[in-house]
Amino acid sequence: MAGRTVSRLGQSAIPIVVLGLVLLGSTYLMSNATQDSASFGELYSVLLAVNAVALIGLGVLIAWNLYSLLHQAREKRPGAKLTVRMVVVFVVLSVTPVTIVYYFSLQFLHRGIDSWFDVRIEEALNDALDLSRTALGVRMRELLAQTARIASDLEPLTDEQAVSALDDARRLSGASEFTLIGANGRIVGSSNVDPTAVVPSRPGDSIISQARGAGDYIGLDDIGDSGLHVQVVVSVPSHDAAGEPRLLQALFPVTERMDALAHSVESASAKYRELSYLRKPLKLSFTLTLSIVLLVSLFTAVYAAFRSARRMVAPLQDLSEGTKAVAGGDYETQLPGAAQDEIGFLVASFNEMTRQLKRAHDETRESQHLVEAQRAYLEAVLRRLSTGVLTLDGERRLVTANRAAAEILAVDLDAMIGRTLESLTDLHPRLDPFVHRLFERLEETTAEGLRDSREQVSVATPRGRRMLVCSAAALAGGEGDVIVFDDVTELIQAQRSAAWSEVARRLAHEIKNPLTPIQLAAERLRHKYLHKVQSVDAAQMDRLTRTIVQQVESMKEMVNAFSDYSRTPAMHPRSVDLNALVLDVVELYRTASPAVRFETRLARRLAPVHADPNRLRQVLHNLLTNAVEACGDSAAPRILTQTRGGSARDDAMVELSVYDSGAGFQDDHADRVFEPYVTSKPKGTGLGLAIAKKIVEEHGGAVSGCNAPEGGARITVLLPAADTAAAPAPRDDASVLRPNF
Amino acid sequence: MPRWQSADLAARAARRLFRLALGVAVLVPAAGHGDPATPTGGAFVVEHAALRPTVGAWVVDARIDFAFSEDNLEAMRNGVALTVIVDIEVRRERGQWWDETLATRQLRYRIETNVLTGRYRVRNIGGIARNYRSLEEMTESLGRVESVPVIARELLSADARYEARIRARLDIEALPSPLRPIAYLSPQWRLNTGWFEWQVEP
Repeated sequence: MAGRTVSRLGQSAIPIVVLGLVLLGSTYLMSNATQDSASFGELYSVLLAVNAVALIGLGVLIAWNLYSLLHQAREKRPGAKLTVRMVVVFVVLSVTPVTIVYYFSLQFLHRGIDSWFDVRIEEALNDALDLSRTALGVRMRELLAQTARIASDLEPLTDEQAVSALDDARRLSGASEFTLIGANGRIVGSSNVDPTAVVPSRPGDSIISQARGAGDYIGLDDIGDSGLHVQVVVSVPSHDAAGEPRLLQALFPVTERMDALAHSVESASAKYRELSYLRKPLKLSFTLTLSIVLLVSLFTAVYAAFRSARRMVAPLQDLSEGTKAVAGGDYETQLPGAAQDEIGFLVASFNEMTRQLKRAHDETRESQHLVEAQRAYLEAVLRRLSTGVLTLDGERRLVTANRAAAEILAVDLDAMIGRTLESLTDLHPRLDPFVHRLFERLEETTAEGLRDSREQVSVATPRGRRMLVCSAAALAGGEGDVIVFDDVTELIQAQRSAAWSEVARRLAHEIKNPLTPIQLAAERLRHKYLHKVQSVDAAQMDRLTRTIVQQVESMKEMVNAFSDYSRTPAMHPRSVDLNALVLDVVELYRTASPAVRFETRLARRLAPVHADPNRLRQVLHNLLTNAVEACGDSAAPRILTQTRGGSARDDAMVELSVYDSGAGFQDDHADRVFEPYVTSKPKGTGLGLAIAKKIVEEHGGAVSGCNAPEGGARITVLLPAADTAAAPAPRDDASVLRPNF
Repeated sequence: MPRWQSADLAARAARRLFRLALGVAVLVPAAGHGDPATPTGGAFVVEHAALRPTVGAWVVDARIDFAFSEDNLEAMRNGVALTVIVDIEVRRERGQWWDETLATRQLRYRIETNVLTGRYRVRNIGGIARNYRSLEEMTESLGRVESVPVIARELLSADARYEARIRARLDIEALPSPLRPIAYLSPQWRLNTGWFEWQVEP
């Protein structure tokens, strides 16, 4: 905090200039004060203190700067080393000459001060003093003798007489004051040249005791403002010997000329002595002042060195940091404007560069956003597509796969992303023919340069064999391929059923009409001519007409069957217990075909199905008839009927499966057994399974057939459970099997 | 406020500032040069002081022992004039509050030597000068503070408590400026009795 304030203060040059001026002024005043000039003499101590404080302040400032600079250098901040180098150069450049000047200044100062003093002058002054004293001494001795004479004159007189004699004595002697002092220092009387002077000057106690004991006293003294006087104190022997001797003090003024000269000599001598005495303190104080001035200017210079180095390095530092920021991806970096010099130009160029970089970066980012938006859009479209789409890279690795592809192939394709299609077939061998065919197709399209090609491929899925229409094409740019496929199984089956239905209806209609006349004609022929013909011919005729009638009957049955297939009677669906129905029908077959072993494996809590029970019964009849016929040749014929609640793919469905121990489907038959007239059996119309399928699909269910792993065929019927099939879905609605897409 | 008082305040502030600055800077290693206990060190001591009512005013009588240090005497012998200041204050005690200063009195004496006559001349604020033949005589006279009126008699009431205090010191700011830095740092020059305080009950 304090550091920040200091550095903020340091940002502006004005405080520094002001401070510098103040310091300069105070050092100037101090140097004046050192010379004891009247105006600044009083302020000397204050100025000294102010400068010392300023010095400490500057010292602290410099120490702080030095510390922060070294700290920055240790942290390897950009520009710190350069600043250190510049500061060192500046400081050396400023300190060296100043120190030299300081040293010589001190030398000159000391010698200069010493040169003021001269032994001869001192001697001359002392001699002048001695001369003054000698000159005065002669006069003083005369005055002492004169005073002693007056004292002896006063001796016989009483105090009163003496006092009255004082005036005359003073006038005669030329003294300014005569004072007679009695015992105990009491003033007996006095005579003064100035009649207004009321209080006579009294000699000090020491003078009195000296005059009483050792003898007469004579001395020079300044008496008040009246100038230099010769003071003489002599004892006046008392007229009665027993009493304490009286004292006579006489004050004689020296001549005016002498007074002036003595004063002059005295003051000059005193001044010289004072100066001489103060020589050492003066040197010390000059040295102190000079040192403070030097230190203040040095510190200011060092501080200025710090500042100017910082100022010079700051743009470079900014540039370095800016470059780092740009390298780190921050293209918004703009450096503060610098002065109109080369560095300023550099800074401006840098700012222009970052501006352009930012513009370019923004454009790139914008286009990236656009691409991403398009990609997201495409992905959304692909996800909603019922067509499976796979993209492969150049190495035939899966790049993308949409949900429909996974649904159609019944494989978790998300886990296969980045892996080759070969590894897909390793995991799911059933997809091998599909993948193989795809690769062939891709090779062909690459070789032939075809842009697009379509082909039907059959794929085995847990839901049975599915017909896919595939198209494969190389991606634009040649890096990879795109494979698109549609599940057309239902479509094909629907088309086939529709076609067969139409065929059956027409056949029934066209064939049924002539059959009755044929039968009637044959019966009539037999009835009319049998008894008329010979016995041999009659037997033959009987046999032939019976054959005609029988075959027509059988043809009628067949036509009726066709008619049943094409007919769609009104359904009466209700809730049906499938298990009960299965047990009912299987029981019938158990008695009818004792050679076959019938087994049932029924789910315990099976949801009822929503169906027409009569038509469902027909489905069961057809499936079981087909199974019995299928295992006709096997050694231990066995039929298993199984019900299960909820298929693996859909909880809302009920599953009914019929297994037989027969030969199973031929490979290419499994997906076509539900078409009319597709049968591997010598007998039968080939309509049983087709009808069963038709009925199941009318109920919104599905039928599939495949070979069971333990041998034989397996036909599975999926029927909607009762609670979900209140409104049976249309039979061509694929969502029953693929509810999620 | 009289002019001399503000000058004194400024001088005191300057002195404190100066001592602080030089004490930190340690520019001149003169501190600790003398010891006040030695005879050459010099010391000012207030021996006794009393406030006494007279007809019109309360007056102070005091006895101060001015023992100048060797450095002081040498400077004096060399013609440097010394200035001695005696401060007298009367204050009213106010319990928790700061004491209220009722009256201040400053006596200022400038001591010079006359090389020709060998006398010590003491000049007071009023410019009245007295000469002394010897140092003892001068200090004895200087130390005898007699009947210095401080405050008008009626200004002190009988029911309040008062405190009077006196101190004497050598005025360093009155010295020639080259001597001042040394004087501030040397105990030989920093002569001060400190406040001598006593209770007054009118």
